[in-house]
Amino acid sequence: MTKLLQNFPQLQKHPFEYLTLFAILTAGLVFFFSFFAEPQLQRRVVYATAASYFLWSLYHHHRRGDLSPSIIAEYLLFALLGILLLTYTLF
Amino acid sequence: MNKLSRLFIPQKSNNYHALILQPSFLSLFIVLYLLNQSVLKSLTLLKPGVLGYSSEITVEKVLDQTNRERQIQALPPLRFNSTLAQSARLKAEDMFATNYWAHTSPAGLSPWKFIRDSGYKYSIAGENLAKDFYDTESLMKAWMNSPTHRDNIIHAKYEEVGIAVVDGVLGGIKTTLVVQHFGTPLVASTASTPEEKKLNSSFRPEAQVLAETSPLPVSEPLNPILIRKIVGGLIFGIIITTLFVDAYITLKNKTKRMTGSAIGHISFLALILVLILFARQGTIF
Repeated sequence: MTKLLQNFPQLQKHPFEYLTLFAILTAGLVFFFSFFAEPQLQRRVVYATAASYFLWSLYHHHRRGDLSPSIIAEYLLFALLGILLLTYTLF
Repeated sequence: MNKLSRLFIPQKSNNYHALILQPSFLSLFIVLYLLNQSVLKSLTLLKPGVLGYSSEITVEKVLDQTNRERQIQALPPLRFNSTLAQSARLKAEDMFATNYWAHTSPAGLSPWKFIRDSGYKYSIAGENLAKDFYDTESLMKAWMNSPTHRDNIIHAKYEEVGIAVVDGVLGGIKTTLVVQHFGTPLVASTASTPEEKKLNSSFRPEAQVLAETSPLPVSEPLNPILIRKIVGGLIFGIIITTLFVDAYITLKNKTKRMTGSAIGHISFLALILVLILFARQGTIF
């Protein structure tokens, strides 16, 4: 495990931040499938997960000291693209 | 070649961040994806019949949106009735089997015949038909824009509904037929008033939405779901591949740069992929 982490210095440097991200994404996955027959709630879960991912990025890069408009735009667009791909395919 | 490599490979000329992953290109992908959706929607409304099967439309969605329209009018929601659903399914299957698109079949079978034969005894009944829509929203919009269909959806005296969404080939074209059978059971209805009797005796097979203005095209129709999947898959594939290449080269060269976290982006997109792949199987009704 340590050897594997050595290949990903970011994970090694900020383990708790990445654990938080994985927890957010896992929660999104669990909630999405727990609202199996309720598309409206599933849609809200998608929005909430994408928003949490974006907020995580602000915290993560603020802690790293490299938060910039370009990075904010990058995460915002990734979140938006994820929402679009998912909602237009599923709902 | 160098220009192409700038798109995918981090190097000095792209500030050590693949151009594809930079906000300008991400915005371009989003615009292209939205444009694709708009073209598909426009095709549905302007040229019905060009598009084929629609797995986007489900019984649950049609029921949900029908009841939402009733809720707006402060009407009680319609109960889903499996016998009416069976008659709706039989009607759709009959249209495919004998190749017609109308409320009354060439053999003279009316919608009421299907409803009665299914064992549903009604005091009032109605039928809405639609085809060639690829999403429930467009379908409901078309029904609500047609006074006769709208009347059925927000009819105060209907208590139950059965819905069928059936894929098949009509006139040589793959399509999805949506049939709504509305009814109020005879036993549940209150004592007959003259008004109810009038309604009872004036079952109106409704005009078909778009069908009359949608001559069936001769050419093979496009499948909107497939187009959507291909475009979405292409965008997804390009971005995720570039993310992996970008992360690998950056790790290998130990490049210091100010960009978003590749692990973060890959994890987020992986979640999206899992949801699309597995939720899709669960939404097939």
